[in-house]
Amino acid sequence: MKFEHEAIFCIVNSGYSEVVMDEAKKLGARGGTVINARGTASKDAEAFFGVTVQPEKEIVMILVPAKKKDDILTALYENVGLSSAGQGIAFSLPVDGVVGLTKEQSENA
Amino acid sequence: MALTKTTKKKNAPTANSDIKKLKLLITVVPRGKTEFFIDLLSGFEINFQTSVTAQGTAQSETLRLLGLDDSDKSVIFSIVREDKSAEALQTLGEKFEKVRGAKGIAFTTPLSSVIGVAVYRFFSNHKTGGIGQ
Repeated sequence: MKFEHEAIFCIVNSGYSEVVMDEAKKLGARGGTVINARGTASKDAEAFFGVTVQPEKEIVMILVPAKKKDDILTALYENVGLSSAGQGIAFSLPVDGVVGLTKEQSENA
Repeated sequence: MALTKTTKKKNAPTANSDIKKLKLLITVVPRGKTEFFIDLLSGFEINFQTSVTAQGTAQSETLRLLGLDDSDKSVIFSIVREDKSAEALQTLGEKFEKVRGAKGIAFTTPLSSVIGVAVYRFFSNHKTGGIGQ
């Protein structure tokens, strides 16, 4: 099944949602929604991998046309990915119905 | 053939039961309209909804500097039955256009699985027999 839009979710350390939006906007996203969240991670895994998971997180939700999804996800991986200070994880979900977008947003969002 | 019989669980839905797929409906609205939209959505046989506070990212720097952007948002997560999702989205779209200060966005994404007959019946508002009966 082919979907016209995808919802990108990017979970980053608190304070990095603007970086996420900047990267997404560079590639044509128009707007997003930021949800405050709390991250959890296994203490054993943290010790094993030598990373510390900051509990304060932000979830950035961005609705994008499916054709722009790959470029935006790649940019997020490269600029706010796990190897950056934002320690971001990004994934997308297929969107099979959407309302509320203007025609311009629908084409360019 | 024997394998089919032995692996069939007592409460597992049968192939001919009227199982409808479920979708996750995500609605982003101005925070002051949260209750309005939750009430609206409950009319589409939606039993499970949860809302979280969120911030919209300012779309216009000028509007933001003037304090005219309403960036306080709510995100409402709802589980909706597939056959009700189009109707729910259409109604939401109409309200976004017609109700003052209720501009928002809503979209659905398919759920791939759910565990538990009672949970499915709750999510799908399935009140009569057929599933797990």
